[in-house]
Amino acid sequence: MNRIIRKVAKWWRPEPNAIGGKRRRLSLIVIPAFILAVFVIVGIFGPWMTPHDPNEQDITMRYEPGFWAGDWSHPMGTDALGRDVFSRVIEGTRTTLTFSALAIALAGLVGTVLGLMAGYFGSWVDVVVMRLVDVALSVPFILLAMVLTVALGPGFANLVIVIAFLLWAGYARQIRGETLSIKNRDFVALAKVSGVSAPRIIIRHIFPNVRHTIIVLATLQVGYVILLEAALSFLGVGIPPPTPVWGTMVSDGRTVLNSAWWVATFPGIAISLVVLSLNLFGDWLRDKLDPKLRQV
Amino acid sequence: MERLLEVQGIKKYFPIRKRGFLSRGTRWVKAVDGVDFAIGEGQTFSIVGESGCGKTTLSRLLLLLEKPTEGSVRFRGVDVNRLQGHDLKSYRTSVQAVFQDPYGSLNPRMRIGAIINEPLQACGLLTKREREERIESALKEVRLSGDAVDRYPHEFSGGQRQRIALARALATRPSVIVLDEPVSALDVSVRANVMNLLKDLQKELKLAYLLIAHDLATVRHMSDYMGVMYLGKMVERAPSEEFYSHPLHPYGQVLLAAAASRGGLECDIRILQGEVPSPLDPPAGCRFHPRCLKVMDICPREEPAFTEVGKGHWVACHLYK
Repeated sequence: MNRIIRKVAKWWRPEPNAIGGKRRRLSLIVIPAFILAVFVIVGIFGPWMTPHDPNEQDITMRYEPGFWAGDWSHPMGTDALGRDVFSRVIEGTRTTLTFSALAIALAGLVGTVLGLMAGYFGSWVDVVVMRLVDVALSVPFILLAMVLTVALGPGFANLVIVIAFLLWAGYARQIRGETLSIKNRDFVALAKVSGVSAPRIIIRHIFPNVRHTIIVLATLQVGYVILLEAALSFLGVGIPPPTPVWGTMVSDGRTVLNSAWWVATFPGIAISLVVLSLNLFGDWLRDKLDPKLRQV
Repeated sequence: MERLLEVQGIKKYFPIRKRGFLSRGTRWVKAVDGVDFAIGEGQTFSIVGESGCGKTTLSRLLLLLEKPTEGSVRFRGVDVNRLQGHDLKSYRTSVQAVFQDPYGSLNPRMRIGAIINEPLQACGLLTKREREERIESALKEVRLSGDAVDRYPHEFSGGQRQRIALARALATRPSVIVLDEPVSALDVSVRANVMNLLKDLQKELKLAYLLIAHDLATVRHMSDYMGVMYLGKMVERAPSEEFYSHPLHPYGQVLLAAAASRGGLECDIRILQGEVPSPLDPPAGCRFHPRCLKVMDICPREEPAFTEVGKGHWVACHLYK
């Protein structure tokens, strides 16, 4: 606890710089962190913040432009059914971020556990897991998604499961590779010599040295997952309309990109901001977790 | 001399699998092919040999990182490969190791305190306070300051890291420490410090060492007994001073000459011909015969037995019967 207090204090306390002046130490990471924080807040409180009902249709107001044409009541314009894009983007934040986070977390959890076990124990465990990975990676994802959705039915929870099913193999393979290389390092052998049990070795020695891979993989996959849901929606196996989801909004607005560009662009910007901020944040987090890169 | 650790007829063969995932390999890498020796309490037994002679595999067999294909390892008379549960834990606390690479021996994500604490926690017999005391005294023994506990390995130099690894080995108060080339990766200037530290600790704590090295010069002042290995077999074994003054096996003689010549002294250059053959396919008869300067007709035909030729001095060579 003391260590945490000391760390926070260090961050806020002004530090002398080289020429003797004092300067508050604020790293650039606050920008992506702030952006992510905004999205998280919107995700939590969004539905109460929407100026209009995101699902309220008004056929007379189809494809109306937004604030640039002077209309501030619909700052981001309206879509094909006259629904307010701004409200839909806000409402969609919660849905999009939640299913992405859950799907990636589930895939990461399953993939990491299997990858660690396959890499560490080798022999039949490795063989079985790797063959499963091969199968999971070779089946075309659309086919897999459709089969699973037919088996499970549509809906939020099932979407999370389906996407996790598509992603876990990537984690497993990567983590297994890293585990194999760490397993042969001297400090693992020395832990065995000291009588440390296998689960403890995996948790205390292998896992902390593969964490950074998981973080990087996870942050890189968010954009992919969002767009994956859009593809699945397009095929009728994603989150069913009218629930606003960014990926679906982008693909819906594809056909009118020339005229009503705002329908696809604003959700697209939201996706880009989240993905970019998350990648930067993920980089920072990975560096922070690496003791070698810490400022002593 | 009480035999603390005794190795008899130990062999370790690694299978080379043929292609096809279930077929049994018919070819074997004979990493260790019949080795006998013993270490007494407080003594240092040094094993020397080129890379690939099996010395590292031998150390792994002693540390139970590998199971022997044949033969036994006995600690205080008990076969260690039969140990289970509490007795196994006891063996693990009694026999520890320091490996060659200072940069790979310590988990970069763990603080020094946690690193040294780990073997203590694994043996499970001490209270938290007792463990903290042990960590502190271990660091003191290796001449490192106590505030190292909160730091990370990357904050230390190679020599310091080896000392941390040594502190970790000492924490459980072992009887034997396996030192696999402990200073080979260190700066020449630092080696003497570490070797001297090892020697002091041996006297102070009555430690037995299995010292593995490929450099005869560094081990001379520490060894009580020497064993020379070649391609998985021990070709000479003798008390240290006896070996340094009267090496009998041609291979040992060449190693000694090479070590002596490093001091800048000119000595007649007995170049070791060729390279170490592959352990998959060792030469017939005496394994050293293709490179031996004193090779005779019998050497490629018959493998020499390991026999005692002087007091405590054993050789496997047809020159001596």
